[in-house]
Amino acid sequence: MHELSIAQEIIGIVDQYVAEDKSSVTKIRLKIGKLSNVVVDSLIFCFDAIKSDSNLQNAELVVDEVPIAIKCNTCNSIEEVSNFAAYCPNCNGTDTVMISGSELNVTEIEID
Amino acid sequence: MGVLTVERKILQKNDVIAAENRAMFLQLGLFTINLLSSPGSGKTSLVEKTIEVLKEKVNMAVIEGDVQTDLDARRIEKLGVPVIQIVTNGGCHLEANLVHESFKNLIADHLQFLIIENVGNLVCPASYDLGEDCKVVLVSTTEGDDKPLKYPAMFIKAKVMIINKIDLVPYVNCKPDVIEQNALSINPDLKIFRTSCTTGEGIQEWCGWINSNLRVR
Ligand SMILES: Nc1nc2c(ncn2[C@@H]2O[C@H](COP(=O)(O)OP(=O)(O)O)[C@@H](O)[C@H]2O)c(=O)[nH]1
Ligand SMILES: [Mg+2]
Ligand SMILES: [Zn+2]
Repeated sequence: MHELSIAQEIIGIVDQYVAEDKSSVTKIRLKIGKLSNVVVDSLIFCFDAIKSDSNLQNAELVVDEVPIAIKCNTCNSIEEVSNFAAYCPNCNGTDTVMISGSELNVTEIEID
Repeated sequence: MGVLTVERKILQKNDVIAAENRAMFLQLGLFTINLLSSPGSGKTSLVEKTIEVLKEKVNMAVIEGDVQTDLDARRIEKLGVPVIQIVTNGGCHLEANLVHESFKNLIADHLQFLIIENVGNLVCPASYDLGEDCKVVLVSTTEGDDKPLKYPAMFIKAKVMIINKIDLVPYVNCKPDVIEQNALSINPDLKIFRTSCTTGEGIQEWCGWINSNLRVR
């Protein structure tokens, strides 16, 4: 539901990197974790709806979705999971850390 | 022509202001909670009960976040505690700058405890740090026992979970033990309270926890 404000933040970040002719921006690459609570389709929809106001009409969002991965400090395995849980899917140990899945980053801006 | 490597957090601006808030609250000796739940779980009711128990002993204030109306702020005002209402006009969560601005308008001396009641929503507010000491997530027994599994981000970030409307357990198909189990599978470190804002069950324990966390007594 907050995808519109995320789209505005993305445009704000692009502003800081591309001062002049923003119509030359062709791609904005994002990394979005599965646990970041962002609906990718809805984010792209919101971005497309407002981009021309900021002269970003030629830009498209390219989203790399990042799976949730859990590292276990007991058996040292790293497991991708579809649903987050705080225990290791391999050994059931509870000494775990989430090493990816909460990303919400702009990674690259492509200019033509 | 080319590719700029950026690697920037999209919500960095919010994180920076949240860090400023946190530093300011710390300097003021203030203990702060961010209260989160679905609409109707009983956030405002819990704030009212907490005020009734603590207000004689603790200098407290409340920031209320809602999509529309100042109804919640008026409920708090009646109890004689300083309160500021943030109306987000459709916004589904509070952001750090809104808290920053409204805190300036709070007229309160020697504050010890600040409650921020977030907009009712178990999804979006999880992503926005406000500068609080801890997130407290509330689930009520009328919502079913699967909420921690369905909204894990919120439960990962919370330090405390309150199971509210415990008085309704006989009437609903929901087991508090299962809520607990599910929540602990997401976050084994959660501190858990069971409360009823109707009967007052569990409110003393909850307020005891707040008391033990105050920075200035
Ligand atoms: N039975 C019962 N009702 C409650 C309890 N806590 C809140 N309520 C009711 O739930 C409704 C929503 O409460 P409110 O505090 O406004 O929820 P909020 O939207 O989370 O702030 C109100 O009608 C309250 O009276 C409780 O512990 N038991
Ligand atoms: Mg409320
Ligand atoms: Zn393991």
